[in-house]
Order: sequence, then structure tokens, then C-alpha cells
Amino acid sequence: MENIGYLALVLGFCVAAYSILAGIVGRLRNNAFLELSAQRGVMTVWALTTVAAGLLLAAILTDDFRLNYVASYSSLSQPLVYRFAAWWGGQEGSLLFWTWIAATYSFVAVYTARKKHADMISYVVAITMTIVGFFLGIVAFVANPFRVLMSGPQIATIADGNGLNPLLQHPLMAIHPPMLYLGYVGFMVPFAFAIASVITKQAGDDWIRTTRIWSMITWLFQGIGVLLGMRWAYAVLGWGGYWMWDPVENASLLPWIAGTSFLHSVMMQEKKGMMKIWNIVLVSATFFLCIFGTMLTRSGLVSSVHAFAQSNIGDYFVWFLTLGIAATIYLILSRLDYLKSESQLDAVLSRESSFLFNNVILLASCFAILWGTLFPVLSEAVTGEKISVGPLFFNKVNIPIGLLLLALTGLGPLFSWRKTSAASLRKNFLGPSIFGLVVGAVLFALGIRGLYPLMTFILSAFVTATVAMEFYRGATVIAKKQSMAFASAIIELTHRNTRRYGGYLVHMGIVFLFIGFAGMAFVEEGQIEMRVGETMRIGKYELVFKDLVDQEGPNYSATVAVFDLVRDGKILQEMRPEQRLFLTGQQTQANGIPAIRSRLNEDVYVVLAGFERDSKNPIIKAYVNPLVMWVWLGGLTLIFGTLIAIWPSKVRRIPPRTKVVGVVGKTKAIKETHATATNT
Amino acid sequence: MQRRQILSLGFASVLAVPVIGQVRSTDPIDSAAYTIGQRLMCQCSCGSTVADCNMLYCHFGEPVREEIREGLVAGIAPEVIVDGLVAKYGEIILAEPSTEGFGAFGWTMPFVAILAGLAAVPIVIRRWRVNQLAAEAAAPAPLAVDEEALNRFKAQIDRDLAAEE
Repeated sequence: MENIGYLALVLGFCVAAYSILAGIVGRLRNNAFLELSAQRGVMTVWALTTVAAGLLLAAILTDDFRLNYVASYSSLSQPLVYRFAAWWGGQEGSLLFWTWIAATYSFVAVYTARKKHADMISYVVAITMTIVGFFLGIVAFVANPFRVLMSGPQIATIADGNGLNPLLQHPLMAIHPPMLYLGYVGFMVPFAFAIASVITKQAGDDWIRTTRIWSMITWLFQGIGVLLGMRWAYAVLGWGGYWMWDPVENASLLPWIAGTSFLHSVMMQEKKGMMKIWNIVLVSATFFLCIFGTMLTRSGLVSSVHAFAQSNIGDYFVWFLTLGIAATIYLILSRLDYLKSESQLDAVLSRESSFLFNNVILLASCFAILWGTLFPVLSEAVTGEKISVGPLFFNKVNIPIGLLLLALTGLGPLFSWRKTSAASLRKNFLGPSIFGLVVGAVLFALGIRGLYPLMTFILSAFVTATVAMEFYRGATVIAKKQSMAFASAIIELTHRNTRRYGGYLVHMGIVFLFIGFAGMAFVEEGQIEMRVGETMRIGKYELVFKDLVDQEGPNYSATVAVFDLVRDGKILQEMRPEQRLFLTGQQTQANGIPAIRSRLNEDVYVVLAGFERDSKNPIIKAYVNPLVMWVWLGGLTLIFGTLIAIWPSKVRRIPPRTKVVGVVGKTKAIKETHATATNT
Repeated sequence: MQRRQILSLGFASVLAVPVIGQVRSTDPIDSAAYTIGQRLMCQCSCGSTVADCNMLYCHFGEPVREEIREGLVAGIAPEVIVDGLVAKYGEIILAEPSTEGFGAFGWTMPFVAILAGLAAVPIVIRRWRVNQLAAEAAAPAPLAVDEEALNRFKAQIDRDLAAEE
């Protein structure tokens, strides 16, 4: 079976190489046969990759411990869902998983767009197959998941595998990696179309229309992946927080930020035909940051608690990135004439300007995170001594940037396209500004003093008011005109322009996230050694230690500390933090699972941190984490808003394009509308 | 009990702390030790600061925390304690780059990038505006447009603007 799997990988690599050549040659020679052949090559690569992935999965599910990968990441006692998750639990399997998703995306993208983009599809084939081929090459020749265990010249097998890392044996970890990979890999499609449009010198923005849904869905997947990672860290790792600016965490955030910038920037091209070069740069940067993130997780370039084992694949990624970036820069520079903006800026106070600021701030944040992540490597290379960059650095640099972004989230939508009058600005700004300041004053009076948290709450109130105003104004008009209930009018309004109002909901998700982040400035924590019957005080709560019991799980034994959470003499809830001991193969691994009581205002988070060395009494660590729930609410709102934005509008809008065709007198310009909104 | 011993020895969950977390402690030594610990990076591969590393019996965090406490009890100034630890373990122990030498470069670059970006915005906007004015100036001679057509176009623009706002 392993031979068939490996053969599928090698064949897939060869067919990918063929598709690249056939696509390019077919297009250059205008040979339809070769072009079609290249497209069929994409389907073949997908089929071969699916065979390889299926065989690896079958080996895992049938406990084929002859395979090194299965023996390393699965075990007999591992529950089915985590056996499945073992597919992406290790270096080789996760690379195959990456490759399979990339092959699937390529197949779907090429077959859905081959007629509409017949003139560039062969280049899309060549680009996607270059990416898939690179990963197939890595999986086939460097990190082979079908490698068998050998004892001398004989294939060997073992009775039981080591099992998946206990930290990964959590429901969230079963979905977090696939979501993240769907995001990482998905950006290759808009990238491929963007580069194909550059190669074919297509000045238009057809590629943007074709890949808009791709971009949004992959951005959504990436966002869900990051959020699930945060939730997993919070629910499993037991350190009371959800984000520690670890290099691998940063690597997942970077393409999401660049993608956010791209999703905003493409609107400029759709509406005004502006920023064409910039959009190609942004989508390329997003894609290469995805590859960079994949490399960072796997190469051992930086030390991280999340990274896979160190390996030599980093060199291949460095070459791939270097050549890819160089080729992209060359292509863009060679096509500058075709990428000029169709129109220019009508007024300084306009939505266009606000998008420009948005792009700058987002990319500054991206750069700051990238810089902090790579600075230890850079410092070691330059000075010979590694300089650490911990959470303090990232917080100091990114909190002000984050606040600027939050402000822009509210400010941007208040500007109109083309031109915003001073009167309109006053009208739009006054209410939200007053609301923000009132909220700030109230919180100050209640004792909130930290500059950053206070700023966060003020800006959150401001953005909330701007979004509420947008919904209120639109819904009021509809309710009046169509004699509709206000709630129904809000739904109607959203349905008429899902992209715009879904976008506002995404902005509200961002507001909730920031409120959650601000809460972490008020954390209370404590750690003590306890005996049964003793009480620990944390904030306004008491934890009464009732018992210490043993439990058996499907593939672990656990020690559970049982507490009553008490406030003002009233028992609120029983809390059961536990330590699990996984006995797999020859190894014993332990993992602590915290008990969490989540409410809108705060979480109580209790960890059985371990046992005192001499007395063997449990050591209990407890936190009161304010507003954490808002982070998860923000995530859900962001997901909901994105889904709304993806949903087709009731009124189909083709952004109207304008250009100057003549001048009447000295000041009046006649604008010619090229496209108008049409009812479907 | 043996299993608990194994658990206590084998437990290796990573830690960190709230992104901008603070500990409220009534003991000034504890509080000062925590503040100093937050300036130092634990070297046990947990990826957290010495103050926040909750790796039980951490081979690095525990002795350093003890060293900090002892220094504070002996009345040594926090800066001197940190300098001593840097001399002992190297600059890698600092949780953020120093503000001198290459570390200063690390601090400066993100802000330089932000400032450069923000400075570029007005330049780009001005260029767009200049191009727009040039396009208007280079436009063909005034067109003879009848009022009816002009009004129709104006009304269309108003409708577009209203739809977009």
C-alpha cells in the first residue's frame, strides 16, 4: 500500500511538471490541445494526491504501524477523531494534507473558471501546478509520509504507536489545523489569477471579480483557524491567556492581516479602477506570507512551542520564496504600463483616502509583527547573539497600531466615495464622537484609568455608534417607504447590499475582539498549594477545595481537583480542573485541562498546575479574566458578518465606474457612467 | 500517589500570561519580583517570560525567580539584578530588545515603517490629485452639451452618490 501511495506522489509530481509546461507552451503556441491537456493534468494531479492522502489515512485508521508516520502519531487507544487528526498531526502528514487541499483548490478553480478566463487559464494552471508541484516534491522526496520502519534490511512493525501529542487531543485541535490550512492554501487561487492577468497584460479587474469569493472564503477560513487556535490555547494550555505572540501564532496572523488589507484595497479597483499595481502586490504578499508561515512552522527557523520537529525543509522553502518573489517583482515591473489607474482622486476627503490609510496601518502592523518574529534570527546573524523578542515588544508596538485601526474602522465608512463634504462629515461624526466620549467619561468615573483600555472602550463605542447609525438610517428609509417593521427593514437593508452591511458586521466583530483584548489589562491571578478543605480567594470569588479524585478516559488517566466556586457565600458552580496522563506506546505524557466559568463580564479560570515536590499537595493556579467572552463573541460576529458579505445581494451591484470625458465651462465635469446598478 | 508523582514530574504544559496581564499582590517583594520577571525571557522553550512561566520545576524559571527574590530581599536595585542576569545568561534573557546598539534598531524599525507609510499617504494623495487636475486640464475643449442631457447625467450622478451613501 505504501508503494502505491508513494508512486501516486511521484506521479503527481511528474504530472504537475507536465501541466506547467503544457499550459505555458500551449498558450504561447496557441495550441488548444496542449492547453486542454494541461487542464486535465490538474485533474490528474488532484486524483493522484487524493489516492496518496486516502492511503495514508487508511494506514492510520487501520493501525499500520509499519509506517513510521503512523507509529509516530497514532496509537491503538487513540479515539477515532484523533486518529483522523493524526493526518495533520505530524510534519509529513500535514504537508500531504496541505498538498491535497492545494490540489483540490487548483482543480475547482481551474474547472470553474476555464471558460470565462480561457485566455489566462493556462497560466493559472501553470502557477497553481508550480505550487502544488513544489509541495508534492517536498512530500515525495524530502518528507515522505510512506516511509516504513526498518530493522536491518527487513520492514519492521511495532505493537503500538506513540500517539498524537496529548495537547493536540482536543476537539478544537481536530478542526483548527484544517481551517488554518484552508486559509493558508486558499490564497494561492487569487494569487494565481492575479499573476495570470499580469502575464496576459489584462488591465481590467476580471480576476478580482472571479476571485472575490475565493478571497473572502479563504480569509474567513484563515480567521476561523486563528480564532480556533486562540480558543484551543485558552482551553487547553492552562496559562490563562489565548495569545502569546509565539512565532507560529504570528505566522498565522500575518497573511490574515495582509488579506484584510487586500479585501479593502480591491474595492478601490472595483469602484474606481485605482490601485491595480498595489492590489497585485498585496495579493502576492498575502500568498507569500502564507508560504512563509508554512515554512516558519516547519523549518525550525525560530523556536516555538507550536512548531513541528526541526527539519531540513526550510532551505527548499527559502528557495521557493526567493524565486517566487523575484519572479513576481519582475512580472509586475515589466507590466507597469498595463497596470496604471483608470481614474484619479476627486477629493482628499473621500473613502479612497481612508482606504489608503487603512492599507498603511494594516501593513505597518503586518511589518511590525514580521519584524518582531524575525528579529531574533536577524540579530543572531548580524551580532552573533540572539536577542529575544517577547510579548512586551509586540504589545508595545502593536497596541497603538491596533487602536489606530480601530479608529479607522469607525472613520472609514463615514466617508463617501469620490468626495465628502465638511457638512456631511460634521453630521456623521458628531453623534458617534459624543457617544464615545460619554462612554469614556462614565468608565473613567467608574475607575478605569489605563490609557489603552480607556482608548479602546471609547473607540469601540464610537465605531458601534457609526455602524448603528448606518443601519438605522438605511432601515428607517426602507421601513418608511415600504411600510415595514424596523427589524424587517434591517434584514431587507442587509439583503439589498450584503457586502456593505456584512462588512459593517465584520467591523462590529473587530470591536468585540478589541473589547475582549482590553479586558486582559485587568486580570487577577493567584497560585497556592492547597489541601482538601482549604479555600483560595481570587478577586471577589472563593474556591473551596472539596476533593481530589481519579478518573479514567478513553486513552488517559486523570486526576481531577473538585472545587466549589463561591461568591458572597453562594455556590455558583462546581469546577473540575484536571491533569491527564496519556500512556501511549513507550511514552507517558501529561497534560492539564483547566476548568473555566465564562460569563460576559469575566471568566474564572482554574488550573491544576501540578503537585508540590515534597508534600505532593496540588498546586492550584486561578485567574479572573475580564471580558474574555467578548473575544469569542467577536469571532462569531466576524464569521457571521463575512458569511453575510459573501451571500449574494438581492440587488446585484456592479460598481459604477466614472471617468472624465470633457469639461463644461471651468469647473463642471461631465461624468459618464459606465455601469449602473441593475435589479435582478 | 505514584501516578500523581509521575504527573507532577511529567506535567509540562506551556504557559504564558495574559497579553497585558497584571498581578495584584500585597507583598511588595513578590510584586517587584514579578515586574522584573516580566522583563526576562524564560529559556525552557515555553516561549514565555520568567514571571509567567508556569512550567512546574522549570529548570530555568525557578532558579532565576529565586535569584531575583534573593536580590530584592538583599536590597539590590532591580536594574542591577537585571544587569547581573544579563551578564550571566547573555542578552537573550531580555524579553525585549534593549534600547541600545542593535536592539535599538529593532525598536526603531516598526515605527520608522509606520511613519514612512503615513508620510507616503499625503504624497500619494497629492499625486492622485495632480493627475486628476492634469486630466481635467488636458480634456478636450468645452463640449457643447445641451442642458437636458447635462441634467440627465447630473441626476444619474446624484442617484449613484445617494445609492453609495
